[in-house]
Amino acid sequence: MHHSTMKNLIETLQIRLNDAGYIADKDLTTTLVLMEQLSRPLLVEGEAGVGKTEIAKVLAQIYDCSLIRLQCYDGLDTNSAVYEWNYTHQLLSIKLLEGSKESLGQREAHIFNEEYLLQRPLLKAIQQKIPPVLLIDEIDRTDEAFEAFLLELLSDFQITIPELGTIHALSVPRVVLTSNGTRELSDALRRRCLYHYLDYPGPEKELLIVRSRIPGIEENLSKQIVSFVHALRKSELRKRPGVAETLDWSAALLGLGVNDLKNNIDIIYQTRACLLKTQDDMSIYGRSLISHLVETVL
Amino acid sequence: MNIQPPDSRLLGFLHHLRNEGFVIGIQETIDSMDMLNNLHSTDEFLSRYIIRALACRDHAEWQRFNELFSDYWYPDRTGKNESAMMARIKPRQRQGGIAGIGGSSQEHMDKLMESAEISGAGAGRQRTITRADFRFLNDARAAREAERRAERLSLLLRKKLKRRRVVTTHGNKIDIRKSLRSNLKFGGLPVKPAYTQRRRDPPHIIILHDVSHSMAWNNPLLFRFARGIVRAFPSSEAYAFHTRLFCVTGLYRERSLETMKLRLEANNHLWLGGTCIADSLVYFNKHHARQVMRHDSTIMILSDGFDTNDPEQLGTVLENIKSRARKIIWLNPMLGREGFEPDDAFMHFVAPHIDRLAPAHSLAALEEAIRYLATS
Repeated sequence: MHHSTMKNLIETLQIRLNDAGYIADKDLTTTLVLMEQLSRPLLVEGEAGVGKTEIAKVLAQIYDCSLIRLQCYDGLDTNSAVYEWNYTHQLLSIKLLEGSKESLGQREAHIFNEEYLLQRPLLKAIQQKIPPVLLIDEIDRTDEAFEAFLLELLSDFQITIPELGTIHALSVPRVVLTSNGTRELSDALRRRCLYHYLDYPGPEKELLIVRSRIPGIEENLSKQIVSFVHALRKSELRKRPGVAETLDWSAALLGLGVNDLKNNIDIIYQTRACLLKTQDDMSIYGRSLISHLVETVL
Repeated sequence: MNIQPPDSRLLGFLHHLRNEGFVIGIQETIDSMDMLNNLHSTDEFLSRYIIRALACRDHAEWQRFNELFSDYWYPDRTGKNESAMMARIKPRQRQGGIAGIGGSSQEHMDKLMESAEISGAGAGRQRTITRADFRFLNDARAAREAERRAERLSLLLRKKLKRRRVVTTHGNKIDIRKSLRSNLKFGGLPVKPAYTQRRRDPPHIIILHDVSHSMAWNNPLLFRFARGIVRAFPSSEAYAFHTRLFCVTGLYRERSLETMKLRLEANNHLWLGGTCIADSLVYFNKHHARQVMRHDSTIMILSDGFDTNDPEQLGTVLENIKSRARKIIWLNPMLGREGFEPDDAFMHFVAPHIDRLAPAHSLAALEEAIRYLATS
């Protein structure tokens, strides 16, 4: 089953992830190897902006396969997630078949075949010959009924369409589910998945991420940015900035030609919208508090 | 699958995790052994990561895992040993004194309220149990009955009507798209129309339960009440606090009352010490609020309000919590006492941020609070 040892697989995957621009710790890499070896879905939780969705994107990149994304939302149903019959096309066919001599059974078989089936992300994912990466993003936003439906897919990789029968996966997709924890997921769903909690990265790791994603950034500036963001995360904020916010802010500062944060309190103040995402946080962080934070941290 | 002979220590660890509340099935056990055998070395960190990915199901387990792993495999580092941990797992004998649940507070009650006797039979007894201040309920059977009924009070809370509509077979509004789809078999004639109805969602309640020394009187009742809510509404969360705050959702959700009592008592830090309500709520705000609070959350504080922190600090933190939640309801068992009035500082700084301050000394008071939640 395993040609190389786990250790080799983990080291190789970590290098490949780094090369693809995703700085992954050994614990995440281990989980990704387990996901591959055991063909089990991966449930990633963590605060917004820590890189949960990026995992799926980078997996698609390194395995050179397609990424199929299902963005979940309140009210998502099987019609939008799995399949839907192209009913206007079917109605048209019924009209066209009215004058034909085909029996009722033949007509029914004609209008309920795959030609009239609109594939949505989940069905599309199990119909691929090369295993794709299936990203089920923000699963906590759907309701319990949809979550229950997912169980069949995640355990047996098959979908049942009443008119056509059960469709088995041509290949087992690599499934990544993400959750922001707005709702407690069921135990049944959790039991089917490997679990990983993605926390905010430490300063060293975040520095590597900034340098890897924003190639032109100076070493001094990137260090200052990371220190400032880390200090900000420790303070009382309604919404703490994630890695995505750090990258946005770094790109903004680079674009504005800033090379040192110490003498640019005004620019930090003007660009704080990249980091702070609520009105409360914006109003708390005025020039004086930013100046105080810069003095303390940098 | 190439499975090596089972490593009894690994099995022992997985068993230990199960005793700590982790749900680990046969498949997880097989996968752990298979993957660890494939490591061909005893790399501590890789082993830790492999078992963690397979054994953990949520963030709470994820946070506890590292300590449990180190305690089990490296007891020298943590100063603990396996036999000590096995002792922790075994049922403990009740130590007496003031504890939180079941009859453990009975001893304390007996000492102070020897003269108050509540007993009887039939409807009279029922009424007594409902109206009685829990402090005076020193008949063990009556106390148990009150606890049981407190737990069932959550059933009075109905699911809230949402704007979101769902497709149903009966309803008050026809869903054209679904009707067309489901009537294709009738040639497009709307023989069986599909309807939509507004969805009902369970209320989202976050319980902040004061388990300090001064609350020991009412803890058995309020504890069962809190447990009832957490078990009835799976999205609800519960936190207990005295001088610090910790999550007890998992404990309250435990199916077996006996197992839960044992687990609770294994946590010796419960039901002891003074009270720092403001500090505890600040901690909740900082470490848990982002994860658990929603715009439609109802925060239910179960506390007598005796606080060693400054009321102004408590007011500020409650204002912060209120800005993110739908409603704050404070249930205070002291309010049921004759002549008890909250002090001026409490009313000045704290009360403005509370939607309802209500007594919680008896079943009837709790029922009234629940009815308020159900209708508001």
